[in-house]
Amino acid sequence: MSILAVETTGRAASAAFAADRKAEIIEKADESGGSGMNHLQHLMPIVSELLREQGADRNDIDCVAVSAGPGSFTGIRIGMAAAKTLAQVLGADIVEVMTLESFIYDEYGKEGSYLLCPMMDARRHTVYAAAWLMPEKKKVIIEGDYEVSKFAEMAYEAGKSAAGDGSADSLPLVYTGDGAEKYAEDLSSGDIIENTQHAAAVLRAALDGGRRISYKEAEPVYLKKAEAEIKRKEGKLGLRKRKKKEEGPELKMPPADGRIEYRDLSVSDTAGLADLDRICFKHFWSEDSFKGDFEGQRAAVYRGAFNSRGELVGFAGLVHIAGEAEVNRVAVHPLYRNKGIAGRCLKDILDQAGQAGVETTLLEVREANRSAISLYKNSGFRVISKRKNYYKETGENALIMKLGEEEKKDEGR
Amino acid sequence: MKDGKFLVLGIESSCDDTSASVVADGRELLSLSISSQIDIHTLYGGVVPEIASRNHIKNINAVIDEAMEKAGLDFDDIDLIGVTCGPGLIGSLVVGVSAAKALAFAADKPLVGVHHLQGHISADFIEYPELEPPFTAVVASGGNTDIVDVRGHNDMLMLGKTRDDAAGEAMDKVARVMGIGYPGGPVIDKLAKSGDPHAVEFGRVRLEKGSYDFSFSGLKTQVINYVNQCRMKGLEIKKEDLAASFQKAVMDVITEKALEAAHEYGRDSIALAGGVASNSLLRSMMKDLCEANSLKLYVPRPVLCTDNAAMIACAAYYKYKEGYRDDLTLDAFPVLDLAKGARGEWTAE
Repeated sequence: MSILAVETTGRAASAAFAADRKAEIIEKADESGGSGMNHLQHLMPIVSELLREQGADRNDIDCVAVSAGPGSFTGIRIGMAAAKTLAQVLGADIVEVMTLESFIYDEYGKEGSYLLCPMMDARRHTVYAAAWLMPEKKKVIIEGDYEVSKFAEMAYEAGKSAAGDGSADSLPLVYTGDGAEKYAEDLSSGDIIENTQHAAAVLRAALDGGRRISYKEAEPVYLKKAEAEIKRKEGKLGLRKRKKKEEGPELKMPPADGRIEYRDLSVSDTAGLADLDRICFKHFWSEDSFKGDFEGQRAAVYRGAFNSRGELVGFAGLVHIAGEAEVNRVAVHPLYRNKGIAGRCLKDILDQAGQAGVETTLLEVREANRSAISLYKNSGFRVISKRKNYYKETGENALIMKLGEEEKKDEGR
Repeated sequence: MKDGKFLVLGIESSCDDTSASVVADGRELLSLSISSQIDIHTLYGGVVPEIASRNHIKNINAVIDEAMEKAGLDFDDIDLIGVTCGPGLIGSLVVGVSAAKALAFAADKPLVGVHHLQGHISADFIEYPELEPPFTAVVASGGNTDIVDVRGHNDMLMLGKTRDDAAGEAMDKVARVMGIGYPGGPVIDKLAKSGDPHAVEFGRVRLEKGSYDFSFSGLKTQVINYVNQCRMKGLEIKKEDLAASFQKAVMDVITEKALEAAHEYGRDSIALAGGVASNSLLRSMMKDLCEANSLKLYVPRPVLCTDNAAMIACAAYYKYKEGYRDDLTLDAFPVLDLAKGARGEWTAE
């Protein structure tokens, strides 16, 4: 009875085959140098070729091993849909292999004890990663979605405690996977050994005590919720556990590391938004105004910048409906200005709005607010009109700005 | 093959419905299984692609099992696998295509990719066994508003399509602005029944003379502006009237252009397809117009109007009969040309 393995979570799709548990494992990979976006096209031809070359009968396959994730969401699903359906039609079992775990079934040319840390790029300086004590294959850091530098710290600590009592130094750390290569700069200690997930390792992992399940039970391992789901859930949770802050905002010095992280904001961040807004603007918005944005009929897209203490130091927000967006607010804490934070937040929300199908983006800005106007111009906005005495509080004029080039007159039909 | 019938298993996953179906000899519906995600996406006020994809992978195999069980067949009995390979949400399409290819390989069956719109039009062939090309087809849904001259089973000429929002999409957006829920089509249809379609006169966008294209985004903006003006002036909006007026403006244009196309190309029948074909105003207006112009009207039952795999199986059958085949390299395409897709040429528009 033979075993087939498929791997589509990384850059190149691959399949592996073994005629029985003891037989040699033969692997075939997509060699078209694909970008990771053509697994759908390549996977089944690879499987078909592989079996033909091995003179294998598909009906003898009694187990399909699949790299279950994490990794590219679409990639995982291509392999999972193929594996589940193959098992369904052939009456075979499925073995789900955690993609990170498959890495421990490769050779890294290391003697003695070491910590193997496969990492797969999850973008924005985050990785899907885990760590195993080798050669025992004992998991010491569970699979998760980690910030690279944080994971490196954890790995070092785990390596230290694995090295035994009072050891001042960590066991050797071995980083591998596309995340290790991409974020090599963030990994101060340890070796980086080139390797990516591939089907033969998945097959070896499946043979090493992989649990056989029905195609009905097999499910992708994403490690990350869909972004929209997180937002929706946070929105609800945020309302329940809001705490009222008594004291005013502080002007604390930025942490020395100068590190800034960006993430999407939700209704649970409105208290922080209101605090920062009060520091930045004379006519500041209340927490309820921000809440109104998140809970109104228009969809709110807010992106925040946080320092390493987790304090909100800048943000940009827009609301949109039916293809039209309005940039509401862009603010950066005075101690964090001129670092490109506003531009980055603004770019992120405009990108998100674009993805959500927004076609027209407008904003209004005080005519005297030169720095804001130049930020908007640099971000692709242009002035389309002026409104006299627009701001009631000060009688200042407002400029209306619109994103994008001036439309060309349609010539011909 | 069973009882001398050619059996096609169809698979469809282009948007938010996962579906499988077995159709005999191209027209006889043996089974249809649809797993709808509407309740999930209602939470978000629209289809969220990543969530749709996640649900497709959860449901796809169960839907295939159900279609096979209902039809009382084994995979061995199946003669052909048909699958939607575009256009649609890429993450969603990929799940159906990957499953279909694995199925075709494992069961050693031929495979045919189907253009989603050719599928919608084929729903009429299942509903009306006597229907044969040529005819004029109107496909209106959340993703499309198209007028197609159907010359043969695999010979289709796209006469016009929407340049911005599809009819169903415009209805969703307007429903959101009115705060009446999702999906917009059925809600607006229902409200409009007790409203006055002439209460608010929205402009009809007919575009340049002789064009079969549509534009609904201007109409959508008119409605949004109207709602905002009323709110600013503190006027109460009668939702029923607004829904009726907006819906009438949409359907006036669709029905006019459909009729024009049938006349210009000398067709004696019009076939509706797509989710919006379930709209009661569209159905009744088309019925009256066709009667007045001595045209035959074909409208599939609602379940065949929504995204379903039966229509895909039917289209695959006629492609196969005319010699079209795909192999295991079949890909999924977010954008696809209909005329080419009907001939199995998989290239974007």
